[in-house]
Amino acid sequence: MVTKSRQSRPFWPTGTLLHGVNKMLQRRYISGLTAKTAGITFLIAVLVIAATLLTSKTLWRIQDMVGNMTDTEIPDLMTSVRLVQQAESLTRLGHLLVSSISHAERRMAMVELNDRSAWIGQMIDTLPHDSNPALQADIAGTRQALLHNIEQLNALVRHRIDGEASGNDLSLIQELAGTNRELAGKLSVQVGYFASEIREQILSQSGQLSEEIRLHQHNLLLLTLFVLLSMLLFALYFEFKVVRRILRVQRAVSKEHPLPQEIEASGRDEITQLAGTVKSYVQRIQVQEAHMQEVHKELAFLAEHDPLTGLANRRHLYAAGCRLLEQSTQPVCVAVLDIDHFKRVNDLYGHANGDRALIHVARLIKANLRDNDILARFGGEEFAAVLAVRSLEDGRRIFESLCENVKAHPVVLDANEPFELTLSVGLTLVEPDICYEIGKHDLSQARLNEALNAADDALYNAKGSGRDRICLSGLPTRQGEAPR
Amino acid sequence: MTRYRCRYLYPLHRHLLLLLCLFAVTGPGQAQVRTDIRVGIQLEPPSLDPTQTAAAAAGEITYGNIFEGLTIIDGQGRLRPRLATGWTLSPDGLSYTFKIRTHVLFHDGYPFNARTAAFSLTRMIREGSNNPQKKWFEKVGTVESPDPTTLIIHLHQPDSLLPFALALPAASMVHPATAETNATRPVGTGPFRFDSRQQGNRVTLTRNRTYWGESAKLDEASFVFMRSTAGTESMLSEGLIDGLVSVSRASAHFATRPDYRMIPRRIENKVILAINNGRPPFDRLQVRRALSHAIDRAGLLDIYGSEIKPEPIGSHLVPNHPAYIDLTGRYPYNPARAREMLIRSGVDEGHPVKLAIPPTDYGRIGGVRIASDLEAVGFRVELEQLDWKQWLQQVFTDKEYDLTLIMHVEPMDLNIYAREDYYFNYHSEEFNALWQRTLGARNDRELHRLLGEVQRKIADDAVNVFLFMRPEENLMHRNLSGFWENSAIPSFVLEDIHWTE
Repeated sequence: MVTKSRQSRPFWPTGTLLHGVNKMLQRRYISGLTAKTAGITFLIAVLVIAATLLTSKTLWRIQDMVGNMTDTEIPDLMTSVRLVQQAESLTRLGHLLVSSISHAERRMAMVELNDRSAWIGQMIDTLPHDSNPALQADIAGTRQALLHNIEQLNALVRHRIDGEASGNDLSLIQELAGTNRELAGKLSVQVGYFASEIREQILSQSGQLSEEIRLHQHNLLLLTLFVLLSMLLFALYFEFKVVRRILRVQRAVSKEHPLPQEIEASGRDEITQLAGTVKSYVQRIQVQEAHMQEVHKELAFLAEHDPLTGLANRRHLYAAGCRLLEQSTQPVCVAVLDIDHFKRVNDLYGHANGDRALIHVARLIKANLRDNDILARFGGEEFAAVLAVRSLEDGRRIFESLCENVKAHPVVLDANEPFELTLSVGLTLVEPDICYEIGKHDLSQARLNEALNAADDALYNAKGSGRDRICLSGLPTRQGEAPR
Repeated sequence: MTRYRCRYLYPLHRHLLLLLCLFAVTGPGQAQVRTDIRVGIQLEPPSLDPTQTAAAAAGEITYGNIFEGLTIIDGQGRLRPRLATGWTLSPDGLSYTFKIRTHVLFHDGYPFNARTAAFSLTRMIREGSNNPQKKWFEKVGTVESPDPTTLIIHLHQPDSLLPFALALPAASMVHPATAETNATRPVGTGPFRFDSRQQGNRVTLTRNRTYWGESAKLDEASFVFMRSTAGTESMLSEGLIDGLVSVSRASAHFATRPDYRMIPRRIENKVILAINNGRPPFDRLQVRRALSHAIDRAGLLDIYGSEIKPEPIGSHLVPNHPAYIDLTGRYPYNPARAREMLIRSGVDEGHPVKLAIPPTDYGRIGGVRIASDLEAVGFRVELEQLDWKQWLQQVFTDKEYDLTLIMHVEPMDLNIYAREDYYFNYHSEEFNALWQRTLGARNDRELHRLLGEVQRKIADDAVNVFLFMRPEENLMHRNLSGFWENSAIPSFVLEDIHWTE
């Protein structure tokens, strides 16, 4: 299975980043999942940081603007408003001067006027001038005119108080008083310009401020949506690239019989490694299982067969024999066979050759019986057979040919000497039992036992009457001792 | 069930804790204590170098802040070592040995040592020096610096007041490279450095971070010039300044506001009507005495409002000085008598006289009152309102005036009457001899006796018309503290000042 190393990238702006990460993966610098998770978390972090930076920047800007307003513009506004008031008060003070009737009053008025003028001058100096130099020149001119006017008034009023003023002087005083009013008014209007300018500025600034804030709120909302979207995409990505693969592996493993080739995860990360490990583990387990099954089969075989000859053992004979008795509709022949003078083989040629002889005979006997017939090694040189036959005669015939066959094929032992072997057989027949009763198994077991005993007795007879012959034992009647 | 809940809540607890921590860090900011101060000061000095100008305002801004002397008068009025760490007087009383502090740097990094100190002192006392308090150092012969930490001052005659004189603003330590430019860019060794000056507006100082001593608590200080009464009131009202360094008519009004309080000071202020003794008709004793009779001192005592009560004086020493004698009764208010004296002295009715007044409250208000008083005895008075620079040039330096209203703030400055070329134009051999005897006094008792005679002499000669001692109180924001209240030096030392909330 070809693992896909280049996967679809949902976040294309970071294509380069993922490519770089892929390269690192190829060189095994960092493991896959960490890289992916880190990459995506990093992405989201970058987004959040970008949002924070944007917010910070905007806040700084807003702070600057507000700071500017409080530190510069609002004080300037207040100054300019105050200026207007102070300029207007010059009129009143001018009156004081004109209407003073003693030098003390006159001086007091002058001191106040000068004081007020000085203050006005100071305030004008602090206002921003760069916007309108022409106006600045105008204001300076008005102030000069005012000061000059006041000086003149002062001199004339002094004359008047001293009683030295002429009619001309008196009317001049009135004229100058009027001029004073005008000039003061003019000055007040001129400096009023500053007030309105600065007010405008403040208004526009606060408009800008609210615009900024609105824009920023909008941006923030967009960013939040974007972040949410990213998180959603990340969740999806996670689902498909991580969770699904894990689930696939899990499903493959939880089958009843997992197929190792299915336990695989595409890609090149920890999940792939995990899948690989699980796969090899499952493979190992399956190999073990197969091995165990074989062993089990072997054990089962060994439990029921004779290791030397490969024939069934006693246990198996009983089990299979009972089954046959229960199931068969035909009569069942039970035979016990014994190799004649077998001890001689052992004594003359050793146990190894004896074993060989046993195997030889067993094979021959098996060859002469059908597959369904049950043949077991009953003892050292004893065999037992349970087979379905048509009649006892039929059975006898089978065993006769079997014995002949054995006799006709001597076993080849060490030193290549053929050695003739003969058999003695005891036969009995069990009639089929057609009725079905409870405890049938015990019954058939008892019947088998009985049959084996009968066959054994028959064998004893055969041995007793010269060996190499078949003796019959009938059930219920004992019959057939026909010599061969 | 509890167990289950606990397990579920545990991660929640952790998150809550994290959130709380975040709030603690980013929560609403607490109001910070201010580290800047803006004080109003009435007179703008033409120069910021107290070693070159008699304007006390230069010292007010720079003393203890930008400039330091070998000694200083501290907040309790005591004489303390400053750039010198101690001194000893030789047995014959003719030489002082000062130990000079180490690791002191000027604001531009130039090191301060005994050689620099010697330079400063020599510059102060040499022929042709413009130092306004040169008179104090008449007894000094030579100054030498055998090594960087030792300064030896040799005297012609004993001078017990020398360590005190070294604490005057005019005796501040300067260094050669910047001495000539200190008027506009003062460079000293103090806890504050000169930052900027807006002509006609303010002077700003900032904290000196390389100061040799304990750092000041304020980061920035501005001295804002109050050019008009209207302006002062306005700025105080709107909180554009945190206090006033000098008493003004506005002080009385604002003293009743809960956000301000009055801080007393122990300054020796003498408001006088100075007479140009060299200009006729004031060169005649009788005329001058007539002036003293003509002025209604008592009537002047309300120019600062009803809260602030100045004390009348009869000579050039203040009531709180131990050697003071009350000479206020020497020339009782008697306009008729004054007129008579004037006529007998040959002064015509309506004789024109110009009264120069400085841009201060006592100048503005006092000037009007005094003009009336003078008018009442037959003078024809013209008020001449000058700005400070003009006053210093025209009246103080050029001596182009008839009468002027002025306040003298230096402590123990009777020596001005012995100076050759002081703007009073008063020259009296008798007085000079008397003054010399005073300087040679061997103990306090003798000193005080002689000072009494000095006062009498000045009053007898009616050199000036002595009006009153202005009570010195600063009007300051209630949250400010750390003022040097008992220093007799006209100054506003910033180093201990801080906001309490």
